[in-house]
Amino acid sequence: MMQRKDKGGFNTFTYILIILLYLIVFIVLNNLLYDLIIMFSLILFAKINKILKETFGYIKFSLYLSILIIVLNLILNRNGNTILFKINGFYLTLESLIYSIFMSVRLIAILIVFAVGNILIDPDDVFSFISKIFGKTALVMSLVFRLSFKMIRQFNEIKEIEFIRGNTFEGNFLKRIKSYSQVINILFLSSLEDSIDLAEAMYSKGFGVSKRSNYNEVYLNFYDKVLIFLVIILFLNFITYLGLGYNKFSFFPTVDSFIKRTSFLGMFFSLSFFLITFVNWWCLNGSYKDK
Amino acid sequence: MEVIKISNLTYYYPYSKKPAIENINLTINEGEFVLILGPSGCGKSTLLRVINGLIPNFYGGKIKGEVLIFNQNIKNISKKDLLRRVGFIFQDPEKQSVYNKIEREIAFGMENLGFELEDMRRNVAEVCALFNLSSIKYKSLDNVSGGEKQKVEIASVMAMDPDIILFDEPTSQLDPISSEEVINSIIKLNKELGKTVVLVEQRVDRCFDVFDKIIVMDKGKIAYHIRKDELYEYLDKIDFLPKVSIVFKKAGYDFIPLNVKDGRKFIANKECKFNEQKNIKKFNKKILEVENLNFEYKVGDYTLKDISFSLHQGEVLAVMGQNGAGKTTLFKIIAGIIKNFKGKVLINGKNIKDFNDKERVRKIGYLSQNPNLYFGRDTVFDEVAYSLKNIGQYNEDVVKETLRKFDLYDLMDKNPRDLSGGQKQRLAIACTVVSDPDILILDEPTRGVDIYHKEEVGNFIKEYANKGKSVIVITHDSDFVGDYCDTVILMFQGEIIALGSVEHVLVNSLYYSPQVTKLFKNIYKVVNTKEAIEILKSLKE
Repeated sequence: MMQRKDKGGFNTFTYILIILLYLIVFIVLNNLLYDLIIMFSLILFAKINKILKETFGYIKFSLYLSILIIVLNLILNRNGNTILFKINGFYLTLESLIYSIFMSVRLIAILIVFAVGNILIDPDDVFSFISKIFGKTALVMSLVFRLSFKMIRQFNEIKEIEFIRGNTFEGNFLKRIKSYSQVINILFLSSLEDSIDLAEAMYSKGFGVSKRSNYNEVYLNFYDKVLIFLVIILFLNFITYLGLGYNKFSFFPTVDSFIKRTSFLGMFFSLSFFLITFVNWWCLNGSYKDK
Repeated sequence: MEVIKISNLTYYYPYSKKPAIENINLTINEGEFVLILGPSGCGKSTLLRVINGLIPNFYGGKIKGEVLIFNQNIKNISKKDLLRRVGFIFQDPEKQSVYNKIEREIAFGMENLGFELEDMRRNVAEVCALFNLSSIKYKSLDNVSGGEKQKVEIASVMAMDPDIILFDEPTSQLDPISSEEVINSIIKLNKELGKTVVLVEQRVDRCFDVFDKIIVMDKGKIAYHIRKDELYEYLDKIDFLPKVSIVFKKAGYDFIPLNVKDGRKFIANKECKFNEQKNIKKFNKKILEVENLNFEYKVGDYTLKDISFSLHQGEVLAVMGQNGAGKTTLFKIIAGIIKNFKGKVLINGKNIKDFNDKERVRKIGYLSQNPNLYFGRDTVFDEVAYSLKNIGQYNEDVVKETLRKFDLYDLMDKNPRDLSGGQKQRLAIACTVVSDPDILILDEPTRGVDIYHKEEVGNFIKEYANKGKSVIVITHDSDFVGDYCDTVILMFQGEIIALGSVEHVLVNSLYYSPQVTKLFKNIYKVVNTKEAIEILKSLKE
């Protein structure tokens, strides 16, 4: 039976769908107000799953980055017609302020999606899930996932070895490129060898020789089914919203009015994300047990 | 019942004209514990891979001869049946795990073979109990020791319930405590569950008195095929023996004990004429001084606490301790890799922070644990020349001389990655010493190497120190320390808990004492193999 995780209460498949929905919406949606509403639903989702502190642990440095984006955008981006104030030739426009806030919110929202996904989705379940659907492709996926983490660690180890062999990574741009190319070369050669080792170990444990069974079966309970249905409805709603041309929001030369750009469908769509939060709360606290 | 029967087996790796193994004939009976011994590159691992079908199914290549598993030709057994009957454990647990969670990793093989869920759950529970993994089965593999990781891999194979289990140097990457755990688990599989075990191992001390059969290989062929009752007839011919057996053999005894217990029984109450004259080396000039060194990766979590010691000219210092004790971190600081430490590191009285990078490379050579991470150049020659070119001291003669010294001259046009394990280790050392550093730091230089290469490394260290250089060896191998080092630091949890001469520290150590020290415990204070042989000779007289 699918093991219910120590964090959250849904199946990995359900979580993958939720995370994908949030990600697509945050990348495509152009309305700051809707973004904020949906981001709030995601924060509430993290709170209900008791991972809020951990989530902010992941993104705390990006909060500083988003402030930096706002400041830099205000200094460098002087587009826009609505001048808020002017000091000694420097002026600040309402459009650049709104645009920089929007970009920061989008960045934070996407990072929260990745943080929540990282905490709630078990990579082992993902492997299991992918291997069930895609079979041997899972071998390649597994190699990529595992080796990418290992490559980051090995990159540092190789850099240390190169450093003690006198490759100091100093000098002009070209010299630095040359220095790092030595590291990258060794990294790829080692990773290739490691991937062969892992493939051999997987083969020796019978990977790919017959139809796999699953220790943690991908099992959808009542709440998973409700939530998957909800995610599909929300996605269709989003497609409709885009198709009807509601996703237009201009920042320059004059920022659109929020009131003018706020529609019933848009509000309905963004507030509907709280249904995900509600079903999650229901799943964790409800009386309806697995049937 | 014969479970493995190999007749006239010869195998060539793809694109190779020379066979990796040649004319192998071998029979293994059900429930036997078979040890396969031999130098690096002699074909031991290749033979194991033939038995579970990795060769030729995974590797390709050309194979001749016949392999029968349970009297059935391996060619006629489906891959699924073969992998179910013959399990395989590799050297490095880090390179064979697929999942992160221990419980899932144990179930991985069963999932592949399509086991029913109920069977998987029962087998996972049973193997966890068998290998004492129940308390950690929900943990991530990142959070357990090397020994536990390897036990998880053994449990994963055991859960598939194979009749034959092949082990390819399963302890070569582990510290002594973890190795002991793993070897005990392997013995348990054979003794308690009756599994047929075929073990390739370099460290034979722990498993030599449990085997039923020994296969000694050399240059791709079986040199000796020895049953337990025939062992004494072959002791003169084989070098891969426990340390205790080696010292008795070299002392000229007819009686050769296979473990410390039998050796001590033999020497008990014997009169000894050995005149104990220790030449304790005295060192004068301090080369390296470390004073009150502290380092933390995370605030408040000290990896190194108040470390102080000195290294002298001509001294060989060993640093021992469990994995995670902070040994590698300490010497990364000394090598100049880690810079944000507190305390002082002085080389010839000058603060290490005041050295520029070229000076540092000339002063300190550091050999990392994984030689594979050194090799990115096209030839062995270029690889050795690379360090010198980086510091602007390239000299073709120096490179060639270094290659000769490490027996790599004939291989200088080969790609470093095509070398054998022992050759790679020698090449990595050559790359480190070519700049002739005053302080040479070697991190686990004997890991995974056979006794011959170990001796070569040891002799090189002695020779280098005799030139007036100083050497630091980070190792778990207490026999090696007893034979080749002058002083020892024992580290635990970031602190130095013992520091002094090899005799002083190792004789008093409960766990890190060499085999010969255990043999003569409370009789003589001895740590060195040559000295132990002399003592045994005097007993005889």
